[in-house]
Amino acid sequence: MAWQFTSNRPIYQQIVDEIELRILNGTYEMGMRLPSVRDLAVTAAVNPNTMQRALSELEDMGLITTQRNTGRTVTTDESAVSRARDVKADLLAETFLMQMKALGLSRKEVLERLAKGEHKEGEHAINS
Amino acid sequence: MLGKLMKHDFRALSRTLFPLQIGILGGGLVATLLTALTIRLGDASWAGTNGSTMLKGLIMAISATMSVLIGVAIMASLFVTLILICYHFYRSFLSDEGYLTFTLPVSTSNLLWSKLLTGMFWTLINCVVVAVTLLIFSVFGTTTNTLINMEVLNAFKMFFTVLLPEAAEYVSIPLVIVEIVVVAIIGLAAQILQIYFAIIVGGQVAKKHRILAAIGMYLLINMGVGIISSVFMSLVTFGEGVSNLVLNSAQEIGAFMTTIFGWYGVLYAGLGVLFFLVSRSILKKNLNLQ
Amino acid sequence: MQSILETRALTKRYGPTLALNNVDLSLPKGKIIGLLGPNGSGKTTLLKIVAGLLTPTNGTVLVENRPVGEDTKSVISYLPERTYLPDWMTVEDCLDYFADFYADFDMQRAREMLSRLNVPANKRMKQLSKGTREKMQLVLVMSRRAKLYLLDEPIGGVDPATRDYILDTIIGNYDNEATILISTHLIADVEKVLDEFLFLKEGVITMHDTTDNVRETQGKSLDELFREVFRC
Repeated sequence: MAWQFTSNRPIYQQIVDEIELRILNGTYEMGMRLPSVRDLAVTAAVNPNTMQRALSELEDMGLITTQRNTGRTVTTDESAVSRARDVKADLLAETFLMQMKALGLSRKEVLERLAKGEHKEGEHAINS
Repeated sequence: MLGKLMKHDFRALSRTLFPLQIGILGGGLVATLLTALTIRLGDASWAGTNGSTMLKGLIMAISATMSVLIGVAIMASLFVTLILICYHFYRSFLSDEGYLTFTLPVSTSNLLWSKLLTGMFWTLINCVVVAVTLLIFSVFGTTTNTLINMEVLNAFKMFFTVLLPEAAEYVSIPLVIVEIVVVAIIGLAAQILQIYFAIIVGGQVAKKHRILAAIGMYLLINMGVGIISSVFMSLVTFGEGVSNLVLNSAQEIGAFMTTIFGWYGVLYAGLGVLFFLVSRSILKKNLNLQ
Repeated sequence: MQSILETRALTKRYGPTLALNNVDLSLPKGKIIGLLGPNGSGKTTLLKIVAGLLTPTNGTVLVENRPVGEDTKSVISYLPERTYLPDWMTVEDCLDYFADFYADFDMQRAREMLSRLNVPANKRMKQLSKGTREKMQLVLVMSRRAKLYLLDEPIGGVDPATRDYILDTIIGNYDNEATILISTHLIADVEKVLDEFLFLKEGVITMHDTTDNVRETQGKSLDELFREVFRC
């Protein structure tokens, strides 16, 4: 299944986000060997050069490492993963808060809504 | 690369031309049998009823017609072979197949050489097959009471035992044979190149009906060739001093004929080279595949 | 960066119509590049000139710094927008043909791809459907280890499943030393695989940029940009 991309951001950035997410949520386990650039490119239906660029970016972020013999693996450095998770979470929270503020909600109202949302999610979990 | 081109041109041509040659041989055998039957029926004393006489007449008429038709078809095969060779050239160079031909990493010269050599090869094969077929026909299909027509064999024998030795007194036989073979091959090459050239020019001048254009071009070029040939040969015969030459001995006639024939070889060679070079230049400098 | 293809003042005239008008072009090695423009903008003409099937009216074309000829044809793998394999050839004949003439033809790869397509080796071209024939041609073209691939409308007029097959075949066989020039008017479908693109409008290159750059600076996809630029 080809990956879905939005039209307003460079595709390599979207690939970085997607792979980062998979590492952070454990779909790609720590120390796991990644498929080759070509295979990843075919799966995502993107240009191998673009995939290459995204992987280099992820390498710079410390989320994947390249060994001469084994190819690319997901990092085994837990601190790198948790650092990335912090950065991502902070960014999402900040965006969320800014959007809420733009809607005109006070901090208290936002917190109430979050609690309500958490409750609903719990119900979903029980129902499903 | 020329070898590979020839391999694939040969393969493409053989697909139609090989069955055609088999057909000629087969047709020739059938015509031989039918003619032999007709002759024997006509000759045999037929003691039978009126009805069977009519049947005999019918069989003879049908056999005779069939063998004449087959004979015409065999002669036409020379033409058909040439048409098939030219059609292969047309398809490779001017149809969608040109997309394959002209993106190959080979030189334009080699493309032309391959088409020329394979075309010549098949024309020669066709000539041999037709000759063999006619030989079979004349030996086995033209007698009344023996299996083999001894007259034909005798005629061949005469040719080798009487005529050739007689001719050898005036001309060198091996030399004449070599000359005939060489001039015939050069003439064949020039003829094929002339047709290829006509097809290429036809493709240049017309966007549609390019086969028609090629035929028109061929006729036009043929006129040009006719003019060039007559001018060239008049010059040559003039140069040989034909006006004040007195050919009074058979030796002199022989020598004169050999020389003139040789000059035809030179003419065909010149025309062939001209067609080849102009064709190549057009393909190189003005190829515009649709 | 060394370029694989360069054109200077390239012009092609068909009678009164100007199919290409003073095209100056320099394409880098190792990129997948879209040649994008509406029908009749000169895409096919440009590719055919580079492939050596058309003679330009004016200007020069250099492939790896060499003029179009025997040398350049040995490093170019060209997929025309029509079926060009002779009817009577079998699949095996076609493989043999390519293997004979192209030193860079990878027979094993071609056979693998054909077996995935379920095309029997003894079938003649005329026995194959038009779609299968087109896929067969793509397989032959992509089985070469060429330096420059010219693909003319490879996804024009095919169903979505075939389109995916074609794009997979292109991506799966791409080696990052080579450059692929894909002409198409279906931008949305190829956008994800393009490094760079050229907009061709009435025989003139109006834009040459990277796809990332368009998204980064303009915040829009190539498809959206194309619709703006070529609005009727």
